[in-house]
Amino acid sequence: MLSIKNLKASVEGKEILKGLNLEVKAGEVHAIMGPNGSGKSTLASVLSGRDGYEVTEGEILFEGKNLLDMEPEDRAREGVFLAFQYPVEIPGVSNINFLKTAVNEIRSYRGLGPMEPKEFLARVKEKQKMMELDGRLVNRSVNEGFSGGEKKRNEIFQMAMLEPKLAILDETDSGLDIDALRVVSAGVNQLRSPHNAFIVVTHYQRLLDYIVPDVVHVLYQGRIVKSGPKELALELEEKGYDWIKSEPGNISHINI
Amino acid sequence: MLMEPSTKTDALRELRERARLLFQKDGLPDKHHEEYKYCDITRYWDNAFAQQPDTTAPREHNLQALLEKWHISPDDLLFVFVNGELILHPEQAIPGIVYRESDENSGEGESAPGTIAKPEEDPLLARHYAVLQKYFSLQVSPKTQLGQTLVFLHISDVSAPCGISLHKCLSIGSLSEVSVKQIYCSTGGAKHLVHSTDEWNLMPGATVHNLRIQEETPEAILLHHTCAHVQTDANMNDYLITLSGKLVRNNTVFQLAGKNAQSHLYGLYLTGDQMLTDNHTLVDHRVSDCYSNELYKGILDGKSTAVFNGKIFVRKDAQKTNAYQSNKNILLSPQSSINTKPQLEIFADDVKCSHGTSTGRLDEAAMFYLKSRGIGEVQARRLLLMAFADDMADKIPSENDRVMLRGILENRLA
Repeated sequence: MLSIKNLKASVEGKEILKGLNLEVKAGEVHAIMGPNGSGKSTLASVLSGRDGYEVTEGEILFEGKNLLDMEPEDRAREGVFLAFQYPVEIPGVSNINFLKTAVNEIRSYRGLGPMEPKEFLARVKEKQKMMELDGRLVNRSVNEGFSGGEKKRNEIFQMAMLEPKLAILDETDSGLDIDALRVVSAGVNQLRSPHNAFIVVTHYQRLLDYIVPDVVHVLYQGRIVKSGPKELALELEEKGYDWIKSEPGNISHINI
Repeated sequence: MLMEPSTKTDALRELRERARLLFQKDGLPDKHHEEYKYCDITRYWDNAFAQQPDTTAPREHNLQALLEKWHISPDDLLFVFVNGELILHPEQAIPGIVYRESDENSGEGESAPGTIAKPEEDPLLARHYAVLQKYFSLQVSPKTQLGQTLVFLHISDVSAPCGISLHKCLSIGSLSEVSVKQIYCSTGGAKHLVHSTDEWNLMPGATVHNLRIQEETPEAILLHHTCAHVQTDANMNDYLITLSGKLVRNNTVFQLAGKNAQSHLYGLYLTGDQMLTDNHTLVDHRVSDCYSNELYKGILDGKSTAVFNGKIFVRKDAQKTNAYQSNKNILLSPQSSINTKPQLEIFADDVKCSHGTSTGRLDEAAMFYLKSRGIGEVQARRLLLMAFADDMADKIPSENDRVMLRGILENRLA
């Protein structure tokens, strides 16, 4: 589904991703862990097409199409979804109007007419229940005045409404209490299917107790330096990242 | 109902003469005049503005289409002015309301022009009175709760360059409440000036909702003075929507002259190519315990300029004043610019006043967020601009007018 080859990307002239490779197949959940500054959020931003990130080398294919050639909205229409680490507040635009516009823009891209209002509202109701999101929040301005947990639940609620093929969760667990973490994870797990895939970017192993990954990658100094089964996350939790930094193959990437 | 002419008077002639002398002395304001720094009237002036419009043969205009466009219903109390002439007014008498047109031969209405907006106060007012031939006055009796909306539809429909004068004196009795909708629009293509002044007198406890919508042709110049004398416990609410024109200059002056008087000023201006819109407001807190709130928002596009100058004047005796002001602008084009200036002049010491202004482009973080959900550039812009403008539509009390304005904005911002 997603194939990243030798990806190099810079922010303000500073190279952050230094030759990243990643293959994600439909039905898989990949966790990406790594210390601060390793490039986790940069990867999420590059995938979603955020401004200010310059790709200097490499390629990203999404279902065989060159993702880097696409505008952010076309990436979303093709089925890529980014759950933001810091969801944006948009005063004056109601959540429901925002979602209706998004759903219909994506449908139009796929040659479909607007969704019937009745069907749309039924889906809103169903997904909002799943995310235990207060009905009032759905009618409020996008993320405005939402608590940290509500914002993150709103991200997953949007994901449930848009049904992406590939969802990137950028530190969705940050700022969540244990109850919110449970709700968010349950939402993600319900959406898991053989047809879609997830990239879960996180600092902590805790989230992976709930969203169990198929593969865990360690991102360090802009490259994936280690990949392994879900147990790798536990090992990282226990030992920290220092042992990875000191593994022979990785030394060369540390510019001291 | 139309009143019978009262005794003949020279008041209008005297006012005109007084103004003519002032105008002869000072002339039109140019950029050296502090209040017209960014709005050099001389640059826009045309000698043809001294010409009268050809009112003997107004061209065909589709009144019905305008009524539909501006959501004017048969229930409304409709006054239609074409090129400054009152051509249509309610046939039936309206309980609690009298109105008339006056000129120097027919004598004065209930309120004399030039008492609230004085020719000495502004060079354009001097010009306005110097050429004024007649005026419209309307009086609402005390304790009148007018269920219907008073609609003033001002149409300019000219085929040759000219100047149109409009003057209204509106006196609202104690404890009365009226909703007014004023439309300024032009249907003809010729270059012209609309010079309009409204003088409001709100008696104690009166409440006015005054919605003004300005949609002139790219050839038209609209100079609009709105002056209100707001007495004890009275409440003046002004909603000003500027949509188009070559130059639209609004001088809005509210005098809070009695305790607990209130004023709310809401403005929304959308500019397009080659347009200048200039909003000068003055809220004059003359006595204690008054409240004023002001919010003006602008969306600027094309090669256009907007000016906002909001003055709050708190006099020495106006203790316990609450006065707030805010001006926010979005610049959509690199060729658009805004000159914004809040001016607080406070001579009392026990007051709460605040002002703020912000100007910027569309919020890029919000744009990206919308796009990341599959919403394209055009729709994303529309959502954000509608959100910005809707804040203003929300303030309008009438559901019908909110719907109308949202429709106009949807079209304009698409």
